[in-house]
Amino acid sequence: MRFFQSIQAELTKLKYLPILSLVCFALFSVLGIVLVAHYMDVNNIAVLDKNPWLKVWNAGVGMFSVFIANPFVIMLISAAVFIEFQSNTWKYLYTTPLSRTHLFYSKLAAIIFFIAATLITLSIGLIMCGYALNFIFPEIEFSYHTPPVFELLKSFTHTIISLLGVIGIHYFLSHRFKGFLIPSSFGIIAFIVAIIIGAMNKPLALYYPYAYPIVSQEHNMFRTDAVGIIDYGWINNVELFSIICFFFFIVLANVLEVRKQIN
Amino acid sequence: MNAITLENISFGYKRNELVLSDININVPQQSIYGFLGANGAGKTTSIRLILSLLKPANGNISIFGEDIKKTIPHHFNKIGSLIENPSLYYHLSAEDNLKIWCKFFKAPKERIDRVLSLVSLKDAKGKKTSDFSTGMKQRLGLAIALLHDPQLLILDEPTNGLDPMGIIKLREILNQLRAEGKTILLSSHILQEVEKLVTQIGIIKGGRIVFEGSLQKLQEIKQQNIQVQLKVNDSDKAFDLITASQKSILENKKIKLVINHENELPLIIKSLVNADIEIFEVSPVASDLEKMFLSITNEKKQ
Repeated sequence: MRFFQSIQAELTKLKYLPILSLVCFALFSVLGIVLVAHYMDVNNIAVLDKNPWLKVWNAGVGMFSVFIANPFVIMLISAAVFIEFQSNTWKYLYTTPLSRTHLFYSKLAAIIFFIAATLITLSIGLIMCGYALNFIFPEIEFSYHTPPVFELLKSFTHTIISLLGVIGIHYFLSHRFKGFLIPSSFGIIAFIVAIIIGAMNKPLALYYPYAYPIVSQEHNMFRTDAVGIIDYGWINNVELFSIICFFFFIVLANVLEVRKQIN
Repeated sequence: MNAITLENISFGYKRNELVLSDININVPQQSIYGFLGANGAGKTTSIRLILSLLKPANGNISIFGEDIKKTIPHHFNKIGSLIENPSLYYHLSAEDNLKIWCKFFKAPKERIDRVLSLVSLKDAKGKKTSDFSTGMKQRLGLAIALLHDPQLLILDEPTNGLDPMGIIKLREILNQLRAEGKTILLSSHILQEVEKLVTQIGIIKGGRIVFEGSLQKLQEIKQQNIQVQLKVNDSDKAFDLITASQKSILENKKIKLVINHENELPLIIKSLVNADIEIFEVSPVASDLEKMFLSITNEKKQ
C-alpha cells in the first residue's frame, strides 16, 4: 500500500512536464506515419486470407521499437530523475519515513508504469487507426477480422523487455549525473550508434543494449537474421541479456544511492 | 530526555579535514533552540548530520532518546525540516506539492488546508510555485515541514528571503507551535531574530560548539564585559580619572570603556560626579546578542 502511494506521488511529479508533450508527439507520429503509409500503399494491405490488422500491428510496433522507444525512454528517465536535482528535493525525499531503497524503486516502478501506459495508449491508437482505414477503404475488410489484441500486447511486452537494459543504464546514469544534458545526450548518441549496429545485421548487436529493442523482434525494417537471436519460446537471448543488464545497473545504482551523502 | 542529542560528533567531507570536531548539542524537548554561527561555521552540516543526510565520522546522534542508526527512517515521522532554501516542484501548484509529500509522509489530505491556512497561503494553493515570491516559497517550505504534524521541527535559516512582515509572521507561527508542545531547532546567522524567539542557544564556530545554554545563561554573560559610552562636559579630565582604574579610550570627545559587570557602572558615575564632572549621556555600545555572539566567538579565537 505504501509502495503504491509512493508510485502515485512519483506520477504526480510527472504532471505538466515537457516530457508529456514529447509522449503525445511520439504517439501521434507513430500513428500518423502508420495511417499515411497504409493509405498510400493500400493495395498491399488487402491480402487474401490474411488478417489486415497484423500489418498495422507490425508497422506500429516496428516504428515505435526501432525509432521511438530508445529516445522516449532516455528522455523520460532523464527528466524523471532530473526533477529531483532541479528542485533540490533529494534532501527532503531522504528525510521522509521511507527508506532510500523504497524511494528508489518506487520511482523506477512509476517510470515503467508510465512506459507501459504509453504503449497501451499506442495500442488503442493503432486499433483506432485500423478502424479509420476501414472507414476510408471498406474493401480492406478490417471489420471482417477481429483485431488480434493479444498479439499486439505480446509484441509490446517484448518491446518493454528489450528496453529494460536501456532503462537500467539510464536510471543508473541519471542518478549519477546531476544534469539533464549528460545522460540524455549520452543516450541519444548511443541510440544513433544502435541504429547503425542494427542496420549492420551482425552479432555485435547482442552486446549492445541500445540495439535490443531494434533487433529483438523482426519488424521488416532491418534484416536481423545474422544477429544470432536464439528463441527460448516466450523469451529470446537478446531479451534475456536485457533483463540481466537491467538488474545489474539497477542494483548497482541502488547500492550507490543508499550510500550517497547528500551535501 | 532531549529531543536531539549529539555526542562527540566529528565529520569531514575529506579525510583528515574535519568540518565538525567533537561537537555536543543538547536540544531540550518543547524548547526553541537557536543554533547560531557565521556562514561556514558548520550549522548546515550539523543539521544534515541530524537528518542522516550525511554520516558522521565519530559520535552518536539521538532523537527523542533513540539512536538514529536504529530508528532510521521511521523517526522521520517525528521530524519536519526546512533546509536552507525550500525545495519545491516548480512545475506544480502548491496543492500538488503538498499532495506529493502527503503521500510520502502518509499524512491525511485534510492537513493540506490546515497547513496552508497556518502559513497564509490558502488563497494561492492552485498557483504554480514557480510564480511564487521568495517569501511565499519559504512559507510553503514550512507548510511541507509541518504537513505530518511533527514533534520536532528543524529549520535551517528559515528567515532567508523573508521581508519584515514575513519574519514577524514566522515568529508568530513558531511561538504558536512551541505553545502546542513542539520542539524547534532554528539555525540562523541573523542573531537579533533568534534573540526574540529562542529559549536555548548553541553557538558554533569553526566546527566547534563555543557556547550552549539557556537564554538566561547568555544574558548573565551579557552582563559581563559591557562596553559603555560616556558623554561629559570635560572629557579629558573624565578620561584621566577613568583610565586610572578602567580600560578606556577617548574618541570624538566621548569615552568608551569596558566594565566587567554592570554593578561597576554606578561607582564610575559616582566618582565622576564627585570630581564635578557633568554627565550628559551614558549609553551601552554592545548590548545586543549580535555583539555578544561576536565577543564569544572572538574570545575563543584568541
